[in-house]
Amino acid sequence: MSPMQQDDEDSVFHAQARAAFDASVAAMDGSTRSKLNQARQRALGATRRADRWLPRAWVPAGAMASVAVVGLAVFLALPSMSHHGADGLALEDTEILTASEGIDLYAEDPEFFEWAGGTVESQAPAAAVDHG
Amino acid sequence: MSATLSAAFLAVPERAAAMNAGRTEGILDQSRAMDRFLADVERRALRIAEIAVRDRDDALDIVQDAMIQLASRYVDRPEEEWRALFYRILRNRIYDWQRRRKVRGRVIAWWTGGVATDDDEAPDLIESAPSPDAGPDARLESGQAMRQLEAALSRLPARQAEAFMLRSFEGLDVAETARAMGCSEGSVKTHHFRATQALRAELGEHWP
Repeated sequence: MSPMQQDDEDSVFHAQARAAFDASVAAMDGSTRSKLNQARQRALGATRRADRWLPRAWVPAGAMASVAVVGLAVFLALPSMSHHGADGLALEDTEILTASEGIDLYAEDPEFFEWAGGTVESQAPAAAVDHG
Repeated sequence: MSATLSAAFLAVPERAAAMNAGRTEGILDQSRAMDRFLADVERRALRIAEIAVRDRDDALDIVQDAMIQLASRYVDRPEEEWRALFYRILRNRIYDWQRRRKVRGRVIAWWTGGVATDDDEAPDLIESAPSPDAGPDARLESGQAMRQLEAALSRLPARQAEAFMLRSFEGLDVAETARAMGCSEGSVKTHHFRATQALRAELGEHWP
């Protein structure tokens, strides 16, 4: 038998096998079809349940809400930080740390420097008005 | 800046709602597509499982498990991949069932002192014998031809029977069959060719 003849005969056999299989599928009884239908509905129900609890459905909304909250917090915090800088307290600390006298000088009489600092702060607004 | 932030903040629920609406529509489309796909393959899958395990109720359980796994885990995968995925899952379920049955058979054989109780009996030869009076069409319609084919398939090595059923019954191409069976395309061709030769030799020239 030539290879081509064998291929042809195999094709005929496959077609017959397929026809026999299709006939057996078509002859399936109603009860089995109904059970298959119920099984399919269960499978589709499992899809819906899996999707309902899928966390990623909430990811875009959650991410946007988080960004908005962080942005709002930064926005509200910014003015108080800049106000703190205007008082010059942070600048004063820097000056003390970088002063050539050394920190020992401030340690000798801390009450004096505390009093002096208070005096300067209470006079500063008045001086600003005078210069204005 | 505060106006921009406020506008962005207020737009969040609208955008989320729009995205959810779009996603819901997408889920419904996928769900409908999955329903169509499963409705298309379920009966054929049941027959293939039934041929492999020779029990309709067990075959129904296996097909249901395969449908649930495909629908719950792979619904997001491209639709053209579903068939190979589904038959891969079905095949794994059938193998699991066969392994469990083998273990159960051994336990029962040990418990009953070696008396074979496995009902994995040979097909009824009288039932599957061709009727000399009926023509091929009548034998196809009566299911006689299929019973003979099933009996012959049950005597093939599992891989050959699997390749034959997926290629010739379900119409999967070589690449899809290879994905479903987890082997190379060359192996699929070899298994399918050998199965065809063995079945033709067993069923004879006058089948169906």
